[in-house]
Amino acid sequence: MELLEVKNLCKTYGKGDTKVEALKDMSFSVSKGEFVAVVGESGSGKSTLLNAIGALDTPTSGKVFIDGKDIFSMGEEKLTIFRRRNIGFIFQSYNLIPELNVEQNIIFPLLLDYQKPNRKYVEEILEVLGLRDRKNYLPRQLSGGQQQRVAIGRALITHPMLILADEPTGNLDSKNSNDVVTLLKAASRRYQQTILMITHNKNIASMADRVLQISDGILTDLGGRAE
Amino acid sequence: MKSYLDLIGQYGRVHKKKNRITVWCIAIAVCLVTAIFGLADMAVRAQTIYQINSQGNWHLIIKNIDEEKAKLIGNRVDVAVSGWVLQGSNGILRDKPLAFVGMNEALAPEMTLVLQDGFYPQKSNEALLNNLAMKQKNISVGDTATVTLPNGEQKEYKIVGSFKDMSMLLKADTYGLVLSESGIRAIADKNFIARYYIQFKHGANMRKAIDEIKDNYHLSEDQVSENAVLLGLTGQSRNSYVMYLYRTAAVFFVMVLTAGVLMIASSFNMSVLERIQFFGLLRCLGASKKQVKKFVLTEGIHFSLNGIPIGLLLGTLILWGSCAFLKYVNPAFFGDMPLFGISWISLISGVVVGFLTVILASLSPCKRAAKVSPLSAVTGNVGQSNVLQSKRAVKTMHKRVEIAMGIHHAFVSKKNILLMTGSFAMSIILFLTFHVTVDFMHQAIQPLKPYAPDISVISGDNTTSLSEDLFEQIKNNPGVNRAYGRMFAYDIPATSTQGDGKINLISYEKNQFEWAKKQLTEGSVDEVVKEEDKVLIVYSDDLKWKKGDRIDLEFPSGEKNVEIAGILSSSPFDSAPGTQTVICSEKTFKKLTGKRGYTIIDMQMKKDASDETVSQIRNMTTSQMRFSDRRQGNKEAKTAFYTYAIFIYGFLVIIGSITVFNIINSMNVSVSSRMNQYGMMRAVGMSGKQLHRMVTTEAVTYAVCGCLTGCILGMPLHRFIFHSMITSHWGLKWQPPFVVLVFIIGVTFLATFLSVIGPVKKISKMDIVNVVNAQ
Repeated sequence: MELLEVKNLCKTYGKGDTKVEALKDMSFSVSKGEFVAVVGESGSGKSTLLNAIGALDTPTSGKVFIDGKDIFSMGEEKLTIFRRRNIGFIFQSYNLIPELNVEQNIIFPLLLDYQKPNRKYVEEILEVLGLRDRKNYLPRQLSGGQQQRVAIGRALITHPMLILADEPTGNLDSKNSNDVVTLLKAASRRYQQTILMITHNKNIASMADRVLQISDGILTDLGGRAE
Repeated sequence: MKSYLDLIGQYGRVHKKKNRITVWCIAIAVCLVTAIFGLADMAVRAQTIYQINSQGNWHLIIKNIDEEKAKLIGNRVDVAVSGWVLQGSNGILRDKPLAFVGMNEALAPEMTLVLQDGFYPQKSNEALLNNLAMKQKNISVGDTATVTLPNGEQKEYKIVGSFKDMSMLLKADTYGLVLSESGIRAIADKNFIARYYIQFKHGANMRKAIDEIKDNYHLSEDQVSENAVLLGLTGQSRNSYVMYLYRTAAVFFVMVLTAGVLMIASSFNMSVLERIQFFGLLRCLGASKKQVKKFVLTEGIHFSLNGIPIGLLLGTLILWGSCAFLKYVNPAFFGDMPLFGISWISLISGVVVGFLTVILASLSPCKRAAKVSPLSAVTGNVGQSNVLQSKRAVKTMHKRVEIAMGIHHAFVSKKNILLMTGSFAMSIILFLTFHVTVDFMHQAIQPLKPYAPDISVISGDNTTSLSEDLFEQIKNNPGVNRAYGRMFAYDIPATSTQGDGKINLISYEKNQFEWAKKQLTEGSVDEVVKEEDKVLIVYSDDLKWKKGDRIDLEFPSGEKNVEIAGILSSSPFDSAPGTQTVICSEKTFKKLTGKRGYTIIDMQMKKDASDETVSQIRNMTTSQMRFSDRRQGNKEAKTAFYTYAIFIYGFLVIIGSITVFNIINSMNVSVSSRMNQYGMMRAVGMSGKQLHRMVTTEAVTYAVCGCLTGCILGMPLHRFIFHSMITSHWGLKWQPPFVVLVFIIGVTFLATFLSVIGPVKKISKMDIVNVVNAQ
């Protein structure tokens, strides 16, 4: 079953001489539970694609369906709520809220939804991510790897169907990088989540079920594993 | 680029919008200081002009000194003009009462004497006559007029000129004769009063001079009287009340300065804090701590150079507007006041406040900026290196998360909450305390009451001798807008079960009853109008009667009984202690006393009524009546009120608008400093409504803290200033200014809610992608 379907997605910046086509008529789909890596040179359009799928950015044309729903046909408020409940984001620069401690950062999307967090699940996530001892720490008291694990926890807490990760290991050393991706993969297997992850790291890409390559805004499906 | 400091200019060009907020904040603070000090300066100038024009330009009067001492005093180096003024009354010029005044020519213009025609009398048989006398008695310059002196002798004077009518003469319906010093000395007897007037030179130490004069010539306190108002306005009075006013002015001065400093400091602090990362980057690229400090300070001075001129210009424009209004209100008095006057004191204080505050305000952010670790600036997590970080986590347990975050944002940095609360509170304190000046104005200067007549015709012997025919004639004159008479019966013995006493019975008609309704504290005016045995009573300290009491009045024609139907808080009439003022309808008055006719007929003239009309009415009067023309006096009273009102309401409007600007600006700055965080929150799913609530909560937190602090500090200060300005002089008790407080708190909250609109729009328009990927 297709969870994510991208149809004829185009994104153009600027006009005339300064016109840049970041995404050129991109179409692909991802099945439920699949772990897909997106690779490509810097500036090839990877982040643009991810931001468009996550509805953080609007494409020039084309459509994105998540679980059969056309996300760009939703209004701003509805889209925000849809995003909050169905998409988990992980950024290279973690983007944690400095005033919230580890646990609060993780449950933040639930708090925004005025839901009561399931204690058991929160504990489980903290355990899985190895953050149990640090749940009352503020982000600035954590290392980069720990902060990224908090970001993963935040992305998992709402049981989103889709996790979008933009170079989650970009700021981490190789050991931490491997740990984070292993964790992410394990978590997604456990909770039946689909992951779309941008990475530069070939080792990490090799851990994915499928690899998509983007070059100058054009997408090529490399199939099973990256080279 | 020649120096690293040139980056300031480059940075400014790129971040025009951000810098504009800081520049405007400085401009507004400087405008506040400039406008308030400028208005105060102009108020002092306007009051000085008003005092000089209405009371004369003198500082000291000495009585009972001999000629020799007077001459010695007059010869002091610090004396500008001095001379004798001799005054006498009880003269007669063709059946009209005549007042005499004589002085030397140099002193005359300083004593509000405005020559309109001819020249100043030089010889002892030459005289000036007031305009009205010239007109009414058909006298021209060059004519000879025979005058009866107070001692009964007749003397002829050659009229060599005329002078402008003075309100005092018009009100008393008296003519005025101005003589040369030798002329007045020739006729002065013991009934004349001789005073030696002194005007000191501008800039002289008058206080010291007055003390010296008193000491050197052994003058007693009774012999010397100072012009307290004029000395007070030049800052040289030692009058205890004026000292109170000086103290109040000092408090205001400090408060305005503090408000200015707080506003600039708060915005500057934010402007630096939100760019801590940028400074970290500078450090990373090799800038030393000292260089970063220098960068922040130089940038502050750049902001000042842009903001201060705008502030000075705005402040001066406000000032010019006020001056233009004054000139419009009374061109005769304030005609000489420059429309585009420059108040140096306000400009200088504006510049000083602007620069000093920026330098002081930039010192602390300088240090913080310099402390930024280069590593934290480049390793990336947005907000990681931001100083606006809390030590504790948000308490999200019992509140909605956005509300908890909003409150947390407000309290995240001690300095931030202090500055924001301080600047909110300062606005409230300023408004509260400045509002005392409105009470002061109402006490110090009686605004023209609605019942103030332009012209009154009064029975010569205070009886009801003015006929109803005369009243009808006056009423029907086309130049008269409104005529209303009163009948008086004095010292009527009154008895009641509550005690005996005397009353003055006064009749009202419909206009006066209508005006009296505002003073009604109990009962009904309408009952008194309609029913014949009902009266109103005016409250006094020794009043024993209540509403509903019946009193017996003992008239020559017999005893009459009336019922008190209402109580008025005050009336325009004075009465001796133990004598109450009782007001009834004309019908009741006639029934009680059996008398017809008025004691006084007041009238208000139409705007276009000419002097001809006034003459016509004057011609209806006989020698058994007194005629009082109060038009000029009323106009002066109006001017006095407006000169105060324009400045005082000017202050309040400025403070009110500064409050609004300050709040809007502060919120803008506060939101800009957290823009990245808001972007992150949106990325992880915070909705527009939640964001709005979060920012509103933050703003409301500042407002609540500010209002609380404002009330806690403002109330005692209000009380202190009220005591200094009003209780000490008029004995009026302090009462908590609840209405003013509710008003300013209302304005604060309104501004708070308005202040959120712009920033929230900005957040919802922001590009989340840039934020989440920002390094």
